Order: sequence, then structure tokens, then C-alpha cells
Amino acid sequence: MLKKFLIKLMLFCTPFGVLMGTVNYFGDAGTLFSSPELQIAKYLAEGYNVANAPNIDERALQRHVIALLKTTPSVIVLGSSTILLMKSTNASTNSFMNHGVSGASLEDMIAIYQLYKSRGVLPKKIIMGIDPWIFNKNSGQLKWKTLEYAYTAFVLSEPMREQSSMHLDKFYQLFSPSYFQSSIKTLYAKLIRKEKIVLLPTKQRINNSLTRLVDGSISYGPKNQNLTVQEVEKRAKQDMVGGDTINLLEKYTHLSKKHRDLFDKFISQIISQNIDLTFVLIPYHPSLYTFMLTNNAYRMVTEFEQYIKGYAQQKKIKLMGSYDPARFNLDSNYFYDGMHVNEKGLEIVLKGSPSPHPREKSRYVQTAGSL
Amino acid sequence: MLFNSFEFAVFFPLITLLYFLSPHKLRWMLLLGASCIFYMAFIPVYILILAVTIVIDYIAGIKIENAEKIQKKKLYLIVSIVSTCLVLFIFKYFNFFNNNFASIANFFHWNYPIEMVNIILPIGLSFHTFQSLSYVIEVYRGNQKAERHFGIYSLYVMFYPQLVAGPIERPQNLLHQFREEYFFEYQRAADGMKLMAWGLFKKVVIADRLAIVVNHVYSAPTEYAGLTLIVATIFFAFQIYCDFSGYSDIAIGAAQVMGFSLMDNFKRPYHAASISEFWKRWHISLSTWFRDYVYIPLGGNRVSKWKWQMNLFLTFLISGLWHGANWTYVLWGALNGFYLIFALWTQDLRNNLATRLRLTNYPVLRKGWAILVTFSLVCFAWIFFRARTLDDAWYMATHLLSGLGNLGDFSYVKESISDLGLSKEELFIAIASLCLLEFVHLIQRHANMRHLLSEKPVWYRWSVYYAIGLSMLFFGVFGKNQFIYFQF
Repeated sequence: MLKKFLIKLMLFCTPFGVLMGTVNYFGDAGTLFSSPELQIAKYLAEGYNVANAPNIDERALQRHVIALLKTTPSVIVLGSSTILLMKSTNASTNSFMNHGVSGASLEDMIAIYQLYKSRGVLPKKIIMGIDPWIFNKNSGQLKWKTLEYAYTAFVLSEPMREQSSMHLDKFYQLFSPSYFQSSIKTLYAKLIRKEKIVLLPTKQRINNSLTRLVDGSISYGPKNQNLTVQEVEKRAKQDMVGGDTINLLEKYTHLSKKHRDLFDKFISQIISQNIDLTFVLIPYHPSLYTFMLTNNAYRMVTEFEQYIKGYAQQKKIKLMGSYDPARFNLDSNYFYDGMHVNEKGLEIVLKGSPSPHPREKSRYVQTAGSL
Repeated sequence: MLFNSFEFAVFFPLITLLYFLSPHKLRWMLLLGASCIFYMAFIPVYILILAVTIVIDYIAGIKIENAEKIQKKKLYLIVSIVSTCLVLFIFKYFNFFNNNFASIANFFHWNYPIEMVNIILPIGLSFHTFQSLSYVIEVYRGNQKAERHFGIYSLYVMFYPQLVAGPIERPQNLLHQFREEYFFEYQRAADGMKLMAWGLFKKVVIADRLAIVVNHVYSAPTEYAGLTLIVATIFFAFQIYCDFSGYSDIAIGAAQVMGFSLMDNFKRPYHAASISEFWKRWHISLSTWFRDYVYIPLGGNRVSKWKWQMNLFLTFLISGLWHGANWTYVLWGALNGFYLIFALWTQDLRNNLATRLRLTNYPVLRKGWAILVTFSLVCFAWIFFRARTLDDAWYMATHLLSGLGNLGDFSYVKESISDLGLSKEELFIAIASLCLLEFVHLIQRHANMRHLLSEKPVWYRWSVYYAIGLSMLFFGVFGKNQFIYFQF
């Protein structure tokens, strides 16, 4: 009787196991079994820049990069793609790692910090690129879920549970229903779009495609490096009607209390660890900034800036930059598009101090009328 | 160890297999060892607290039985109750009362030197405390012989399927089962597995998905109003039901596979047509515990009307405090007590009104209305249960109807729903799974779902099993979310 029951139970369960194992292995949403992110991290750890790495999970990359670090860098950068161009030369140290991820949310920054914390050694300085959407509860940004375990560990003040044993974890993941749910989507994409990634480790800093540099920052290919002013203006205008990043500012009605509290807890913990902390606000393209100033839907950008400046002052945190490009006299020559300053623009922001004079609002408001 | 974890998926079949392969005389040891492993998977050292309670009540049971004079029996009972409750008080209520006393002292500018203690509540403490208490009380009442076998008694308190969140068993029902020899029965094991699968479905597909919305809204309720708060509260009603009844189903099913019979804990509570009926269908093992050991000893309804109502209110107030050391739970209990008393006050009025409106001619309509009102009252009370603070609860209670005048405006409805923190697809899955749940409940009004299924041909049954399995695989939320009642 027991034998019959067990046979039937196994017959029933086997298809589930086979289905999960197959989908998880070949779909491999977190690239556990065929990790381009892991391979990129390995190349970076070996001192190579990596070209041809589009559409990767940047959060997973950060996880691998941190896991493979031989020593903890003195200076790390947290933030979004707006600060991803910041290089070790900008910080005047080789002990540097940029952990910027596209569309970074507060949860991303917390999770990456937590990954360091779990190593037991924290950096001496954190440069934090502060984007205005981090207090937008409607940003819809869920990419941080890749590092959810690290974020949860921070929120619950518990030790991180993942990564204790990678091999055992891989085995678990092969039969993990949650991994199945992600992997079935990636398997579908692989089968339909025939996506294939061929990584190129290189010592060159600028290549034909986006290059991930050993210090964690990125460099764009020649197509982006040689943009004309008109092309930048065109891109900035496109951002106004809905780029990936401006979408994060949609439905931004108020500075979420939940996120403010979380941010305060995060910053307080950094300060309590005696880490030198600097906030950096990266300016927007003049056209886009004017558009946001004159459009009520984006009024929270300026409100957020005021809030964060007050917060930095209250906590005695050094703050550099402003969302307002006029503070640094930045025009299209200093941008790649509406949201991203180029290397020249970034250098000015990081070196320069805000203009002591109030910005000439009227100039941009007039421009907005012609947009 | 969580029922919805990979560890349990290995642990349960292994223990069950060993159980049936072991000789009868060794089985209690196997189950006790398994229960220790199960409990120690949370915080290992806390098993010592459990051991203290077990030793106290084991000795107390024997002493009560051996004592010849009633005064001595009573003394042993009091010692047992006080020491068992003291453990519960220290771990669960000390900080709560201390904090309140400190606030009062602060208000009067008095010096208050007692510090808070930094301890974590042992998992399921309230459950096994109550199960232990029911043992000593029943021995005192003479309804149960004192258990002389320390291992069997320990197993009664620690039996792993119901150790951390019930059902809270009575010694008359459970203790003797550990002495009986159960052989493997195919149908019983299959039924137990089906119940476990259904419980797991309720937990991972329904409760944990609804939890996303509930956590989203309840973590910052002041950012929402009206429809969003209402939907989140209704979702919480179903979340807590599916979470807890799911746990109970898995517990009862797991015990059933091995041959043990645990008491039912839920009987479609949201189909109740009154609050008193709701409490006969919701967390039955706890409701009957309070009835037998608090309400009836207080005098029950065999006292003056005023005292009877006081007894009702007091019982629910204690029930609220049992759930958690927070004023929100106390208020939740008080609100439920008030509902019952208010129902008594207005019973004649409501009957007269129904007669005048000729609702008595439409019993289905009347019952439907009663179910709807009961559900609404229960949901309103859940606000106090789930809210983090009294301020949050008060805000929610006073802003439930804000903006509802815009219900005819599609954009308002759309915006309110988009505030819930679920994508359209996820929301669809949540609502579809709730519809499935209610469909099953409607069938269960007339028949046992498992018996109905067993009468169907093999291909039909297996299709249903695979459909449930695949729906869990595709639509389940697998974040190792704890069961809500673990915290109590």
C-alpha cells in the first residue's frame, strides 16, 4: 500500500521536477548556470574592460563584482546611470569602484551597501548619486528585486541568507519555483529573439559598443562620443515624451514618507559607520530641466532637491551638484541626452561649486515655450 | 521550518516514511525528535523555554491528580497556570506593559527606572502555552487522566504539525492518539496530501499575493484614501484567512497522512451571517478554548444580562491581547466584543425591521444581506488588527470613505487600483484566485470537496491535481513568507 502510494506520488511529482529543472537551467533568469554577469565580473577582476555586454542584469553584475573583490575599495559610487560615468580618475584614487545601475532606486543602493556590509569591510567613502525619483512610490522600478535578499537583510537588520553556499544555492535554484517564474520568461525571450551574448575582454577603454571598465564605470562607443549638439537636443526632447528614466518620475505626487524614513535609516547607518559620505546631484539637460520646471507633473524634482539639500545640511553631509544645469553653465555640449551629462559635464559638476548667483529662470522658461 | 519551504518538502516525506517503517514503540521518539528539529529550525535555544513549560505542566498534572484535597489540587493548578503564563508574559507582554507604565510615569514626570528587555518572541509561544494550559485544566477538572509518560506528554505539546500555530488541541482528543498504532492507509494519506496541497495553494497563490497589496498600503496608509484602503482591507481579510486556514490545512493534512486526527479550525468564516456565527467558524480551536476556559468560568450567559455582556466583552478583550502585545490588537478584540453586545441589543429591532420590510419573505436575500454586513464589520475590525499603530488604524478607519463619491469616474477607480502595488496581470491573478476560493467554498456548503473529487474518474482527478500544482508553480509567490499567526 505504502509502496503503491509512493510510486504514484513520484509519478505525479516527476513532471514538475523535470519541468522546473529544464526551464530553470535553460531559461536561467539570474544567469546562475550561464552567467554573463559572472563572466563580466571575472574579466573586470582580472583587469580587463569588457565590451559587447548589453542587456545584462546590472544588479546581478554588482553582486558578482563585490563577491570577486580582492580588497574593499576605499571609495565606492552608488547611484544610477546618471553617475555611472564617474571614474577612478574623478575620485583621484585607484581604490575605487562605481556600482551605478540603470534607474537605481533607493532599494538598489541599500542592497549594494548591504552586500559590502556582509563582507565585513566597508569602504571609507561613499559617493552617492542622488536621483529625484528615489522617493517616488509610483516609480514602478522593480529591478532591485534581483538583490531583494540583500535589501531585506538591511530592512530586517538580519544577516543575509543568500550566497552562503553558492553550489547548494544553485541546486536549490534548479528546483526553485520562484526561479522558475523568472526563467520561463527568459527562456521565451531566448527562444523567440534568439538572443546571444559574446563578451569582449579588452584593455581599450573605448570600443564600438558600450564598455564596462575595470573601475565599474562605463564608456560609450564612438557613436555616442561624437554626438552633435543637434543630436543631443533631439535626444533631450525625446526624453521629454517618455524615456526610460523620466518614466521613473511619473505619478510623482509627493515625497513618499516610507522612502524618506528608509533613506534616513540608510544614511544614519552609513554615518554611524564613520564613512565619509557625499551626495551628488547630476544636472539635467537645460531643455529637459526647463520642461520639468514648467510642467506641474514634475514639480517634485525641485521639491526633492530642496528636501535633499536641507537633509544634507542637517546631517552635515557634503553635497555637490544640482539638477539645475545653469548652476554650472552646462549646455548641450556637456550631455549625451536629456538625463546624462557626459564626461566633461561630470568633471565640472564634481570639481565646480554651484554658482553663488540665483539661476536665470526666465531664460529657460522662455526656451520652454519654443519646445 | 516553514511549511512553504524546500526544507519542509524534504523533512515531511522523510519523517512520514520513517514513521511508518518504525516499530510502534519507537514512533513517539521519532515524532518527538522530528518536532524538536522542526522547532529548532527557528531559534534553537528557545526549545529550552518550551522544555521548562513542559516540565512544569507535566509535574503539575501528576500532582493535581495525586492530590486528595481539592484545595491542594487548586494550588497545583494555580502554580502551573501562573508559571506557564509567566513565561508568556515575560516574552510577549513585558515590554508592552513596561512601555505603557513608562509612558504614564513620563506623563506625571515620575522617575521610571525599569528598562525594556531585548528579546525575540519564541515562535508559536501563545499556541503551545494554551495547549499546555488546557491539559492541566482538564486534569484538574477530572476530564483527563494525568499523562505519566514524559515523552508522550512532551509530544502532546510539541507535535510538529500543530506546534507553532495550532490548531490548539485538547488532551482528550490528542493525547490518546500517540498511544494508538496507525498503519498506512492509502485513502487517508491521499486525502491528507490533498488537504496539504489546498492549504499550500491558499498560502502561496492567494495569501502571499494579496500580502503584496496589503503590505504596500498598510506600510504607509496615510498616502492613500478611499477605494485603495477598502481594497487593501478586503484583501487583508482574505490574506489572513488564506494564510491561517492554509497553515491549518497543511497541519491537519500532515497529521492525517500519519493517521492523526486534529480538530477543524475554519469553516468558511466569511459566509457567516452574524458575528457570533463568524466566531464559531473562525479559528475554532482558539474560540472554543476561550469559551471553555475563560467565558464559561466567568459565568457565561448563566448570569445577569449585564454580567453576561461583560463576560463576552472581557473574553474578546483577552482574545485581542492574546493575539499581540499592542493596543491595536486590544482594540480589535474590544471591537469584536462590542459587535456581539450591539447585536444583542439590536436583535429585536433588526427582526422587526426585517418583518416590516418583508425581508422575511426572502430568506436568501436576507441571509445575503446579513453575510455582507457581517463581512463588512469583520473587515473593519481587521483594520485595527493589521495596522502598525493606533494612529494608522484611526487614519484608515476615518478615510475609508474619502473620495468614494468619484466611484463613477473611471479614472479615479483606475488610479486607486494602480496604487495597489500590483501589475494588471498580478491583480487579475489575485482576483481570479479569490473567485476560485469562493467557488470551492460554495461547493463545500453541500459536499466535501475531496470526497466529490474521489468519485470522479482518474483522468479528471489527476487533471485537477496538475492544475493546482501548475497554478502554484506559475502563479505562486515564493518568498519564504512566514505565516501571519507564527508571530502570536
